[in-house]
Amino acid sequence: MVEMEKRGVPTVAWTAERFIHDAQASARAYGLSRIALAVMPTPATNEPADRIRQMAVDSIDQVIDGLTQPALPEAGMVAAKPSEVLKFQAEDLLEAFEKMNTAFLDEGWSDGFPLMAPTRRAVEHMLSGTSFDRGKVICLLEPAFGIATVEKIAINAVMAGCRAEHLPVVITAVQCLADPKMILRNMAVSTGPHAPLIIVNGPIAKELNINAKCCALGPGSVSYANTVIGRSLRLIMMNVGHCYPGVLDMDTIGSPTKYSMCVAENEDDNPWQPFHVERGYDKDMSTVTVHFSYGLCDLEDFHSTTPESLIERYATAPTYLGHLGAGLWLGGRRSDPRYHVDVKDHDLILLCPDHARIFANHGWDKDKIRQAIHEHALSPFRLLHRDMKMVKAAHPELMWLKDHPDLMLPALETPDCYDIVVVGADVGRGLFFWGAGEPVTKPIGGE
Amino acid sequence: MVNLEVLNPVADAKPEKIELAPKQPDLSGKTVGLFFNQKPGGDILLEHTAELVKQRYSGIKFKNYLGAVGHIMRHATAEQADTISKECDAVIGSTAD
Repeated sequence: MVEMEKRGVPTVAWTAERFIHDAQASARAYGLSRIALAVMPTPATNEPADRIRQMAVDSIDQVIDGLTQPALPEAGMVAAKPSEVLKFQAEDLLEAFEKMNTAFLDEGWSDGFPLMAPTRRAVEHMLSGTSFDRGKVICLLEPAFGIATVEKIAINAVMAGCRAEHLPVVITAVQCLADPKMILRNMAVSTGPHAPLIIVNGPIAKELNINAKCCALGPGSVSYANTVIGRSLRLIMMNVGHCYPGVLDMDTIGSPTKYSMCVAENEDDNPWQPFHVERGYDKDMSTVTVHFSYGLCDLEDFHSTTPESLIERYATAPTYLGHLGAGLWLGGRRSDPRYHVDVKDHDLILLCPDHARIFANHGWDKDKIRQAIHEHALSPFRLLHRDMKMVKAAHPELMWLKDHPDLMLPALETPDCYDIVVVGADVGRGLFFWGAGEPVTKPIGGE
Repeated sequence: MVNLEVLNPVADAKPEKIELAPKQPDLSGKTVGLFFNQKPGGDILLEHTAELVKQRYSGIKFKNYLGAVGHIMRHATAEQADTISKECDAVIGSTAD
């Protein structure tokens, strides 16, 4: 709609009541101070046709007015921009700290847990962890195109509980978010529980004690670095990208995975090349990968002793039909036309060392695992596709499938849609992540 | 009394301003685009919207557009936005939510 307004064509957008703030905030992010809306009480999804038609009847005047009537002046007062330095006065520092946390909760700047105080001294110390200038702009972070200076990233890292040495990892994670291939806007504002998982590879993982083994995804003191690095990325998405719940984060229920997810690859127990080497980096380089996921499930198998048996079990996960990614390729690819980007959806396996050894001892490499999962993770076409109109729009050459509803097809588009990272302690259970989009990897310290 | 001074964590957003397009006071004889992003139900909503608007304006025409790229949610490319803006005097969009 913004692109139409920019081209001089008036628009009106149908919007459900719950999404009014989102629609207005999205329009503002693109520079449009107001947008004409026709409001429905509920989304049209999951509604019967008669109900949808009635909603059109009930709000048709808003459609007409939106196209024909001059826009109302900007509503309300623009909130005064809070000062760059915030002061909290109290009887003692602990009380002042509590006041700060209450104020940050009231402003919506908190993830809900207590925050460390971003004092000048703490932020200065945090900035000592990077050679980048504090004013350097790392990116304009979507969805609101927040100006992600090194200093703003550092302030949020302090609040998350990070140490100065963690800052380069955090900055690189932000660089990953900003890569057009991430399609961050979609991940940030969606009604789905898209959550970023940070994967750290290379020497820095051990230098910073980023846990790759027992309880790597937390919680606990052994995963302190993991926890605070992951937490800082969420705070940055909120306070720098303005991805605030109910405004530009429209998640239907939310997810505990959105608070913090960070692991290192267990390179000691990985029988193959490290994940970042697979992705084109030298073994001695340190990298950060960010992969968004919708959720995760256990990959438990204490009985199998052969790759074939493990694959049989693993291949059940990608076909879970409540996951948007299963069969999504039949309707096209995740796209961002602003950057001419389209990506395949990837699922991620955090492969436990015990299972990795079974594969490796039988001469399997990751490509063979990927190929085998792809060949076994099949479902009937009638269950994988959501709507023949979607198939027609994306793959008109596949319309013949409508006459073959029981033909078994792969859940994901190609074998390379399965990413494999070795993580965890010795025992036969890993984790499967239903992924959203493609992972993005960047070298730590890069521009 | 003590003072705790902390730095504001919130980043400014990139300043950009787009002017709203002029409205179409009379839609009679005009062409209105119906932009559908493929979310289920949005097509029904747009189709019925067009029927209702048609009852109020003589000679009004409608053109349907489906986002050129994407999957469950399809987006307009810049080329498609150019085409729509050339072919239409106004646009009604549905994201279904």
